[in-house]
Amino acid sequence: MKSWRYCALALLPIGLAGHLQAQTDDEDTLLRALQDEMDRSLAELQLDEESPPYFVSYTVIESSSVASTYTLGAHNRSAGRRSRSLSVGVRVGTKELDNTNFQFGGFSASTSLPLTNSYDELRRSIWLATDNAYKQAVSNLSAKRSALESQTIEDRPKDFSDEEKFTWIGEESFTVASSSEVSSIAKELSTSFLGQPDLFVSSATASSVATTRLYLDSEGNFHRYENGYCSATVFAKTQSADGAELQDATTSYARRCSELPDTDALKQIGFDLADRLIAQRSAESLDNYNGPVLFADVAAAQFLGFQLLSRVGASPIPVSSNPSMAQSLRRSANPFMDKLNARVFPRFISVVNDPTVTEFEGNTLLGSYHVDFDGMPSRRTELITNGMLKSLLTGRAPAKSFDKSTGSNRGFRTPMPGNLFVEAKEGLGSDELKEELLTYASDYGLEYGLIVRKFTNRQDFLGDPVAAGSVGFGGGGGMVAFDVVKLFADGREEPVSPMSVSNFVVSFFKDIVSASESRTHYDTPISIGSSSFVSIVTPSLLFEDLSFRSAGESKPKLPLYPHPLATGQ
Amino acid sequence: MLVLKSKPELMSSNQVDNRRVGRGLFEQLPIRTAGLIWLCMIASCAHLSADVLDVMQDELQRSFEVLQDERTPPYYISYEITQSSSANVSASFGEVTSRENFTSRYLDIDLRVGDYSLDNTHPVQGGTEVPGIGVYTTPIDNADALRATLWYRTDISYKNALSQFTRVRNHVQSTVEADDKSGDFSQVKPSLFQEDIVQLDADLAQWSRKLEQYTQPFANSPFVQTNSASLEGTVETRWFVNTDGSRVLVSQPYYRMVISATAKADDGMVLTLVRTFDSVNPDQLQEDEKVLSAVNTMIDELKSLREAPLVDPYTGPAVLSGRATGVFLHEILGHPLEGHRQKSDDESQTFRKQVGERVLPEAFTIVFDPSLSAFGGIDLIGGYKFDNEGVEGQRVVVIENGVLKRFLMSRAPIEGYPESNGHGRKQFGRSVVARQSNLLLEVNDPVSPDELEAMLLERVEIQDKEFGLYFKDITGGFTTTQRDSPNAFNITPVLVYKIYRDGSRELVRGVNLIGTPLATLSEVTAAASDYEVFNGMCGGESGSVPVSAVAPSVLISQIEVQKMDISRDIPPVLPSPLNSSSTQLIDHTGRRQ
Repeated sequence: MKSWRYCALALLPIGLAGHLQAQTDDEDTLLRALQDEMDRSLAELQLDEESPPYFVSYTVIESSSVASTYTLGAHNRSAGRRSRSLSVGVRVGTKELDNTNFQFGGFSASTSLPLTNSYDELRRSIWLATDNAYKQAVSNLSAKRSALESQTIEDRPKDFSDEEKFTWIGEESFTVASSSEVSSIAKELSTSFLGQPDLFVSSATASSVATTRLYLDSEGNFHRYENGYCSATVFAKTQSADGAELQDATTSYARRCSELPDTDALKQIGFDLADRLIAQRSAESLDNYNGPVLFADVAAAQFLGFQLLSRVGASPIPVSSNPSMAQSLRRSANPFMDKLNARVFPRFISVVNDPTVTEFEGNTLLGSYHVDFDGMPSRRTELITNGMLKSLLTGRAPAKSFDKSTGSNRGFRTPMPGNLFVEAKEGLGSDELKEELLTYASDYGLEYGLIVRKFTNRQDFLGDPVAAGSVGFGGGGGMVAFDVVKLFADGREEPVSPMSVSNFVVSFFKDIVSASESRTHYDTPISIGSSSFVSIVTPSLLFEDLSFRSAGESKPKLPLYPHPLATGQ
Repeated sequence: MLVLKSKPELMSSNQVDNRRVGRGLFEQLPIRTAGLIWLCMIASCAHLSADVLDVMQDELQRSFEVLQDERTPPYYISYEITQSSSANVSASFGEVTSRENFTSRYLDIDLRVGDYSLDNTHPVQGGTEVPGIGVYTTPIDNADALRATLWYRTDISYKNALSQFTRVRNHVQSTVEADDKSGDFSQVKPSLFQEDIVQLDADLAQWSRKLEQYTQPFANSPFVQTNSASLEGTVETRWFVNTDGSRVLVSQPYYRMVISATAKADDGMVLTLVRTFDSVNPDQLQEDEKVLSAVNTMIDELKSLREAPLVDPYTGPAVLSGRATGVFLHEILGHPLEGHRQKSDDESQTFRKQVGERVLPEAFTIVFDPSLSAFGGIDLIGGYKFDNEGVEGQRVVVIENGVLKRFLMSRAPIEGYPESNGHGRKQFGRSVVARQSNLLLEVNDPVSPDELEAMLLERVEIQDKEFGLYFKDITGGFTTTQRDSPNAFNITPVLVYKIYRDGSRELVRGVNLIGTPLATLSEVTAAASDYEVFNGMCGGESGSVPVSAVAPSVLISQIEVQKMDISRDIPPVLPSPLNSSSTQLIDHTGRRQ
C-alpha cells in the first residue's frame, strides 16, 4: 500500500494571500473575487433584526466532459460540455443552532459562473448567490427555531463541528480527453460484439471527465483539487430460451484514458460479457434459493457497495416542523448509529476506511482523496474492529455520538467512505472456501451451493444511452446477481439465471462464516454521474444463509424473426 | 396543456472557442479538446448519404414480409431516423458561461396492425400501455449496425402493437359506437424526396465573441439582476421510409439566439424580457447593429417596467401587436383546429360543428403554410418540406373570409376530412398528431396602425372606459382544450400599455390576457397592416415542435386580463459590488434604510 503524507497546513498561519501565489493569474482573479465578496458578506450582509452569517463557504467546480457511444463499430451519439458552477454555503445562528439540518433543505445556493475570469462578473454572480443563500438561511433558521419550540429533542447534537483549519493545494492535474480519443475507445470496444447475432442490442460508451474544485470558507479552510476519470462501458442484451430478458454492462474506470486497460484487454471484457450472456441464455432458472452463498471476488465488493456504503456514515436526524415527516426522518436514520460498540459483523472481520491510500496491489484506487467537500482532510478511520462497530464516518454536521469530522463529506447526502478495506483473519484459499460452501450446503440438505461472481450495477447502464433506452425507466437495475452458478460436490458448476437477494437486512452481515485470504478491489461512482468514487477492497465472503429469488420477472416473447446478421439472412 | 414559448426547447449542444488556450489553468485543455469535439461531429456527418434510406428500406421490406406470416400481420410500417446535431454557447453579462455540443440519432417506428379503419393506434379510454416506450438512439453510419437496431426495435414494436390492438378491439366491443366513424389511418401517395444533408455552420469562437459583445450592455445596467444569452445551432436531418413506398430525406438547419434579462420591481415582482432571433443562416443572427439596438431597447424597457404601475383586473377593448396577435391566434384558434382534437372524446371539440360558420370578421383569412420560409426578411422556423409521416407539407386555408373551412390534418382522419394535409408532426420519441406550422393571418381591408388606435379609442368611449390596453409584446402562452378543465387560454404579455382617451400611453405591468376561444374570437373587430413575426417552440402531445405566426395588430372589442403571480422576494440585501461601496441595510419589507 502507498499512502499520502499529509501536509500539516492546519498548523500554518493561513492567509489567502499565501495561496494566491500558487495560482495562475486567472485563478487569482477568481480567488480574489471570492475572497472579496466573502469579506464583504461577513462584514455587511445582514437583514435588520436577523443574525449576520457566522460562516460562509464557496465551492467552485469547473467541469469538462466528453462522451461517445458506438454500436457494432458505428457512431451512435456524442456530447461534450464545459461549465463552471458555484455553491455558496451560508450559516446563520451559532454552531450550536443554525439554519442547517432542517427538514430536507441544504444550506447552499448554486449558480453557474462565467468560464472566463472577469473580476466584475464573477463578483456579480457571487454576490447574488450569496444573497440568495443568506435569505434562505435566515428563513430556515426562523422555521427551525419555531419547530424546536413545539417539540422536545433529547441530546440534539450541535449543527456544525469545530475543526482545525486545513489547506490543501493538489499537485496532480487532470485534463479531459479529446473527443477523438473517447470515440476511438468506444468504437473499438463496440466491435467486441460483431458476429454475435444472438445479442440483440449492444453498445460501448467511453467518457472522460475532468474537474477542478476550489474551496474556501470563512474559517480559513482552503483547497484546490483536480480530479478526473475515464470510463469505458460495454453493454449487451439478449433473451433466454424462456424469454427472460438478459442484460448486463461492465464499466472499467481509470483516472485517465491512458490508464485504462489496453484495447485488447478492454475488448476481452466485451468478449467475456458476450460469453456470459450467451451462456445465460440456456441457464437453468431457479425460482428461489435458501442456503449458503459465496460472493466471490468482485461480487463481494459489489454486494458490500450496495448494502454497506450508506451504513457507515453518521448523519444527524433533521429537525422538522411536520410531525409525520419528523417521524419518517427518524425511521429512515442509519440503523448502525444505534449500534456503536455492538457486534455488526463476525469477529474475524474488520473494516477500515482509508482514503489516503492510493494503490492496492499495484492498482490505483479511485476512492482516494485528500480533502473532502467541507475542506477537511481525509483520514483513516477504523469502522469495525473484530466485528464490533467502533466508529462511523462524518462530515462537519455532528450526529449523536459523533462530534468531529472524519473528512467524509463526499458531496453526497450522507458521509461516504473513500477506500473501504475489509480484512478477514484466517482467510481461506479459493478451494477451501468452496469446500466450506459445500459443507454448509450439505448441512442445509442441498446438493449444491450458490456462487455469485458478478452483480449488474445500474450505474453501469445509465451512462450509455443504448443501455438506458433498453432497460427502460426504472427497470433492469438494482441488485441483480448476474453471474451465478451452482457448485456441486464433484466440483461441477452450472450457470443459473439471474437472481436477486431477498429481504436483506444489515444483521445478516453477522451470518458471514468465512472469507478468502486474497482480496479484490472494485471502484464505483458514489452516485450516477458523480466524479467521486468509492473503492472497496474485500475478500470473497461466504454467507451461511441467504434467500435468493429469480430476477427474471419480465419474459417477453422471443424475436419472431431472425437477426438480420444471422447466417443466411 | 399546450404551451408556446419564445425560449428554445431544443436539445442543446456546444462548442468551445480555442482562442483562450493557455490563458489560465481553468481554461487551457478543456477548451482545446472541446474544439476537437466539434470537428469530429462535423466529420461524422459528412459521409452520411442516402444509403441510409436503402438500408432502412431493405430492413423495412424484410420485416414487413416476414411478419405477413403472423396471424395478425402489420399492414403498415414506417421508420424515421432523426439526427440532431447541435452546438450552443451561453453568456451572461459579457462573459461566456457554458459551451456544449451534441450529436445523436433517434429511431421512431410506426407499426400498425389491423387495417386503415381500425388499428392499434385507435384511442382507448385510459390511453395506451406500450411497454418500453422511450427514446432510442441508433447508429446509421454502418449498415449492419443499423439493420440490427431496426430489426430489434421492429420486433418490439410489432409485439407492442399486437398487445395494444387487443385492447383496442376489447374497447370497441365494450363501448357505444363513436359519433365520428372515420378510420384510424388514411391512405396517401408515396413521397419520394431527397436533399443534401446540411452541415452545421458554427464558428463558436465568433459566437462567443458576439455573445460577450451583446450581453456587455447589461453589465453596465445596475438594475438588471440576471441576464443570459444563448446562441444555438441545430441541424435536424430526417430519413423516412414506409411500406407505402415513401423515401424522404430532409435536412433543416435552424439557428436561434435568445437574449433574456430580468429586473426586480420594488414590490418584488420579477420583470422578464426576452428577445429571440431566428434564422436558417447563423450570420443573420449576428448583425451587430440590430442586436445591440434590441439589447438597448430591452434595457430601456426594463428600466421603465420597474417604475410602471400594476394594473388591476380589467375587461374592455384592446389592441394586440402583430406578435401578440400571432400567439393569440396560435393558442385560441390554432390548437383547437388540430384535427385529432375533433375526434377524441377527451377534447372539447370547440370548432367541430363550426365548419361553414363565421368565426372571424369577413376580412380575415387564416392560413397554415409550412412551405413559407420567410416573411418580411425574417426566417420562419415553423416551415418544413415533409411532415413526420412523410407527407408533403401543404398550404391549408383553415378560415376563409371569416368562415371556418377545415382542420389541420395528420394521417389520422376525422369524419369529413379523410386525408392528411401534411401537418402530422412530432419530436423524436413521440407519436405524431396534427400540429401547427406557419400561421399567417391575411386581412382584406387592413387599416393603418393609427386608424386602429383611433378605433380602439372609439370603443373606449362607447364602453365608457377610462382607457384601453395595448399589448406590445408577449413571451408565450398556453391553452387547455380538454373537456375536464376550463376551455381557456392564457397569454403572458411583457409589455402592456394603457391608452387613455386623450391618446396618452402609460406602461403597466402584472397582468395576463385570459379568455375562452369562442367568446374572444367573436370580439375580434379589425386589423392593421403592420405585420410582425413570432417564432417559438410549441409543446404538445407530440413533443416540442418549431412554429411561427405572422400577423398584424388587431383590435379586440372586449378582452379580459387577470393579475399574474408575483414573487415577494425582497431585493438583494447588499448593493451590487460593482456600483457601490456603501452599505445599506434592508428591512423585512425590502425597504432600504
